[in-house]
Amino acid sequence: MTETNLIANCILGERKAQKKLYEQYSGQMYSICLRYCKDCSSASDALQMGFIKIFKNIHKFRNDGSLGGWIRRIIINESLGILRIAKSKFTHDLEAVNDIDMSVEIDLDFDDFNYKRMINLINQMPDGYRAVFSMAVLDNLSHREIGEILNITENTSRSQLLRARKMMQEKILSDNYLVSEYHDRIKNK
Amino acid sequence: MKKYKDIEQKMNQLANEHSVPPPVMVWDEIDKSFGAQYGSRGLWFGSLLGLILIGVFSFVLLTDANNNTTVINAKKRTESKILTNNFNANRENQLPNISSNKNKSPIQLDDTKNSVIKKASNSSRDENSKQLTPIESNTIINRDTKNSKSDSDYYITPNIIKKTNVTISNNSLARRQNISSESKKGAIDYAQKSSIENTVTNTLSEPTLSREILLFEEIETLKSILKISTPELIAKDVECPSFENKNKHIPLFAEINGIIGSPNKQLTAIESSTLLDNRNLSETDWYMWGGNIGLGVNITPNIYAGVGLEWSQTKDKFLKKQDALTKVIISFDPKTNQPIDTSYVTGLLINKGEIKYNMLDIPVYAGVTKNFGTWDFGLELGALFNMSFSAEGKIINQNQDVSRISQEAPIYKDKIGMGIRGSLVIRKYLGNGIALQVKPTYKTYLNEIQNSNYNLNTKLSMVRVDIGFRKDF
Repeated sequence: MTETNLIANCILGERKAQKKLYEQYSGQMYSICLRYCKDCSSASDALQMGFIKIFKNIHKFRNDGSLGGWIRRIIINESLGILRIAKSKFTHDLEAVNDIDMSVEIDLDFDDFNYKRMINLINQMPDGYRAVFSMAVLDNLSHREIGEILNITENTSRSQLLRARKMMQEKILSDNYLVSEYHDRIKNK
Repeated sequence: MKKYKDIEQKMNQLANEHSVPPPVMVWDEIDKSFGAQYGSRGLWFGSLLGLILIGVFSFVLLTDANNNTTVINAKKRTESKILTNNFNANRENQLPNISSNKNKSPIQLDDTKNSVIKKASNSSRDENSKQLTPIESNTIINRDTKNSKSDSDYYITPNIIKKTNVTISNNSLARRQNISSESKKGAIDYAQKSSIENTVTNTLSEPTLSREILLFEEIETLKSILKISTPELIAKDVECPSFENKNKHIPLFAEINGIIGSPNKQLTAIESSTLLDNRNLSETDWYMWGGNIGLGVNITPNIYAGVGLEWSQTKDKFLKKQDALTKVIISFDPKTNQPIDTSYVTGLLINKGEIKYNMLDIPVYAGVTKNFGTWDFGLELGALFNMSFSAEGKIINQNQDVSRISQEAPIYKDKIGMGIRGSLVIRKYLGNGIALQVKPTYKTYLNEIQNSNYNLNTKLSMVRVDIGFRKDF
């Protein structure tokens, strides 16, 4: 069944098609929910409410973008709705944020860098940074989209991302140090 | 050494590749919520499932009767939300016959049948009856109130395992032996916390949100993924809105249309009359225009209903050609200055003008559409309640003279009652729920528009096209 047929059948309310769509995307979307919600109960609720919204509004999906992207955005919206990040978490600090150096080199072994470690790093960040960083870096949302979802301005989104990136660089460096220490200890043993 | 932007790319790749199978209950809940909408289909499936369950239930009953055990009936289980002595003192009235002999039995947990709770046989009940009082006083049975279909209908907290004579089947024991002692401890902590929370939720307020009861393995997996200690899994500050509340969102829509079309006015008389002939000859349908706004609700993705306000004006051309005196020539005698001759010149006198009919209606309408990608095609029917009607312009009066409507005795009604309209709907969604729509429409008023003392009957209808925008919220 092609994606177009799947969508058409979902619009008609066919349960089989809905389940197929759910099976196709639920794993990845649940992973996203867990990333934003932190606990699995809220993540399950976000996934559930998100998919109900998806099935109810799938007739509104236009082929100008990917279905996955559309679903992802709804799921992120639901997850953040449950998390209810207060706007105050995105207020500007008085000091300006300088651009960060994206080409700065960090000693990191990609073989040691897995999803678990990445999530651990992201979860160490405050809610506001975590949400913006996840949306911008992991979910490829634009600042306009982030602004719409979080009800903040594009500039606030940009500045939050800069701060989040800065913090992430620091976290990677400190985490990297801990990992190296751990490897050294194993070697010494 | 890796550049930071490469690390971000790696993160993006990891996030996109990562997938976690969601709990089975999530689909069950989605399925259940849509079951209500597709009632008839759900009824059939429900009936079938009910029959299967009755069959299985009967089979289990018969089998267990042979083993001298009985399964607690479904009604009892539904009533037994909480069996805890911690709350007994304050909430005795909520507890279903705890002191009765029926419940004074050790509890058997059989994982192979997804936590079916069984009572022990009558013989064993007698033997254990003395031990049972302290056992029950520490027994908490949590029931997931929203997920009676799911595999984990009942979760018996470790309190039971520790403090009661619970019989656990071989499968269950074997399964739990694989769990490390550390994870058991974490799970026990979580389960205790969860059980207290569930108990409070179930007793003090209406349960609004399905609460997932985790298996030990799932907790361990999550714990390792999130790198947090198990009790932190319960985020106290996370507000979880109820599923029902979310469903109460009303899918509204609003629309605004411009109207252009062709009117069709029909004049009739019981018998052929000069007035009818003159009016038919002097008036021709010209065009109509107007606009409407509407607000409604999408009852289902394909059916909607709405109410609005519509103003329209139809225009007829008035053209009266008649032979008439156009010139009088009087000749005078130049000497006496007296008129000596008078002559008349006749010709064609053309009288032009227009007649306007203004209508203000409240339309109430419903439509059904079928979606093809970004296009919707459908049919819309509506009733219109006229709020005001007025007419102006030139007309042939009952004396067969050209006159203005305003100068005649009232010919037309101020309100013309009810009308109906039918439209074909062609809609193209542009994004953000905004659609451009075109609705070829036929509209007619059910009553005549003239006053009863006028000699002719007049009916008004029109074929028109509504063009505008619709926004779904």
